[in-house]
Amino acid sequence: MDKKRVDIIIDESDILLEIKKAVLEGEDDLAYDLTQKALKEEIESLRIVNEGVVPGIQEAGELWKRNEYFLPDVVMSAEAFRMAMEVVEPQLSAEEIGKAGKVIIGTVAGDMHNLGKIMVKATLRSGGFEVIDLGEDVPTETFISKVKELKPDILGLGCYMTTTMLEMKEILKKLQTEGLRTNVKVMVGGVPTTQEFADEIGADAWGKDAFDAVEKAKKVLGVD
Amino acid sequence: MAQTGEVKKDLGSVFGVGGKDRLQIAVQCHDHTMRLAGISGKKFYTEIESNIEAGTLVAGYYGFDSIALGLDAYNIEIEALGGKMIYGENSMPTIDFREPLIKNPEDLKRLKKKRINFHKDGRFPFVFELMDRGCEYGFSTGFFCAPFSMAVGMMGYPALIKAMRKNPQFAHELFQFIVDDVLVPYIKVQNEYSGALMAVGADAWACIPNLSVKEMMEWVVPYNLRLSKKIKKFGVVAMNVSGDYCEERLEKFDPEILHGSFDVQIASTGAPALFLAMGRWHEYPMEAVRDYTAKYRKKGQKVTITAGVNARLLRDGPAEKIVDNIKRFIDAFARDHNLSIFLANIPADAPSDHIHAAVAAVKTYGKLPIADNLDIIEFELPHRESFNEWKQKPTPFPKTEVRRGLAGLLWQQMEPINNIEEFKEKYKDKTLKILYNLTDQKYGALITVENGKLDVKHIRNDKETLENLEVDASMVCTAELFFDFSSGNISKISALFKMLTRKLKISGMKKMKELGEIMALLS
Repeated sequence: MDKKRVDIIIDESDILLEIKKAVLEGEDDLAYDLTQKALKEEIESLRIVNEGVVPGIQEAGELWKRNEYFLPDVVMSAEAFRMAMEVVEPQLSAEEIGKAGKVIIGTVAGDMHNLGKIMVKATLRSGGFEVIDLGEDVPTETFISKVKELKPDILGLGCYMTTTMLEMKEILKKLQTEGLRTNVKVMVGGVPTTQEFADEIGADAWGKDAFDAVEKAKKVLGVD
Repeated sequence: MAQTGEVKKDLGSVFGVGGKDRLQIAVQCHDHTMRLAGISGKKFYTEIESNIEAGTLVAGYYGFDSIALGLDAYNIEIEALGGKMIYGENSMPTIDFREPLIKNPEDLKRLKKKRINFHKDGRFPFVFELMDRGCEYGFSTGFFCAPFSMAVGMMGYPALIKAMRKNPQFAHELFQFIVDDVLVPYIKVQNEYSGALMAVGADAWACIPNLSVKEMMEWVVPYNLRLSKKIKKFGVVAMNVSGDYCEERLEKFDPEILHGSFDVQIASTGAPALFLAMGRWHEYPMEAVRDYTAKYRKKGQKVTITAGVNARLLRDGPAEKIVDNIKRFIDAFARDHNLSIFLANIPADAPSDHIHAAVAAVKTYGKLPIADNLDIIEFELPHRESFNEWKQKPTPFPKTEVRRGLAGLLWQQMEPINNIEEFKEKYKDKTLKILYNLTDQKYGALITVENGKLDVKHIRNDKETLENLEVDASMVCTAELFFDFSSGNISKISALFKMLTRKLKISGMKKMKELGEIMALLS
């Protein structure tokens, strides 16, 4: 990117618009630089998030729903979102970061796929959730101990294979036997999963895709 | 004579064999086979005997038209190149995307210097053995991971997309490496090992909405074609299964994008063959497919359609919905397309009742000729014993005569001729023996007609075998020339020139013509 372009933007609303555009267009380096510049210009961090970074990825979601964006566009937008948030998030207060709720997310044991999780993480964060990512190939015991330790509002489980989706069933069972099930909402997602599967294993919600996931997360917690 | 265009367009027959008095059932069933047979992931994906035994049992239990071969097609090349894999106890091996093979251009440079032993590295020997044993059950094709999906496996999807957009030169270098330095030599070894003249490329990553049509035309099709062109030189036809339409949100279904994805499929293979594999075809309007194939129908061409029953539907059911989906496929396409039904990636824990229902639906509604009104056909959901009960007295999928190379491909097209009464009657007292000798291949094909029955056998291309063979007609040339000639991709003048220069030798023209007349009965 163009360093020049960053330098010449001086108006606050211009910077925020440019941040939004950079996130929307998946210009990750530019989003990073512009966000740094916005902080340097002493624009309030929450404003940067709410008027620049988040609208960018939200618009990407709208374009996705209208078939104007395909997965590469959304992935790039999510990456630009992540880069911008990397700059601005340390400036936000704890309340501002996770105002919608706390989510623990991970790909279940035996599954190394992370694309869906990357996307869901970005959309959840854009929806005001604090997201703690446990990574891939996460053993059931780790999910359980993290639920105990971090007390999330939502536990998000992802998978890509029809064999590993069965791990989700075990995690739900274990949450039940450990007496944790009523404390946490469970959301599932990933290529082989369906609403029927979510119902069958007793999950609270199923995310069809990353943009659906954030809507469902808000719904299960009753937040706007 | 059998047309290579037919060989290519008959994609359904790549997966399914037999059962030519009705539509064929093709299956992708590895996870389900592994779980039903109670075998660990490690064993199923590394030990031939376990894999074949489970495959024949599960295929026998359900009455599939082909053995339920199990192969994690997206991992083989990457594992052999040194990619880190995770072997789960109860799951298919998977690439460790946390540590991708290529993180930056330097990694590609290093990889280019690596000496790859295409005979021995990773699980290449497992694949060769699987192909070899698969021949005993009617399989005669090779397998590979198509360029785009392999690039995803090497870098991870986000990093690859970023490279394609921000560093296209490097991305193109990667795709060229995949085609020229990995796939071409790998497929050559497959061909040398088993005689396979067709190789199927798995390309689930190259689909809508993972890429737009424009992106597939720019990044997927050119490398599929590059591969096709290169492997054709040693006589192998590539079938890259790219361009599937997998939109999850029904409200986003768009016929224009669907048609674009079909353009990608056809551009990738050069054949009018459509794969409706992993999409929600129980919900999409099938009319949109017919709209696309209308231009072919107008020309009197039958488009080949491999119609996939969605994996999630196969798992979630209910059985009635699965049956309805298959019935609608048949009603929409079977009368004026070459249709086969594909049970797409049957989930590990899909209830057996659902799979039995799917098979019964194809066998009931798919009887040829297809009835004018499928609603008047009686259908009852089958009630079958469990797999474990059945296993007490099992009837595994039967072995068939091994037909390697061209013989395998020709047999898949020619076998149905044996069901045609006109052929049986006309040839009950006639004989015909025609040899296709592909000079650059291990095997040629010998077609015989005797007592109203046609057969195809593979013949070793060695001097002794050929010298002792008496035939009515023969065609002698390279596999590449054979495919060009038989698919009409070579002009009469060029063919004549090849004959004059002895690159193409044809004897017994009259008998060759007779075989052409026999094959015409199929259409």
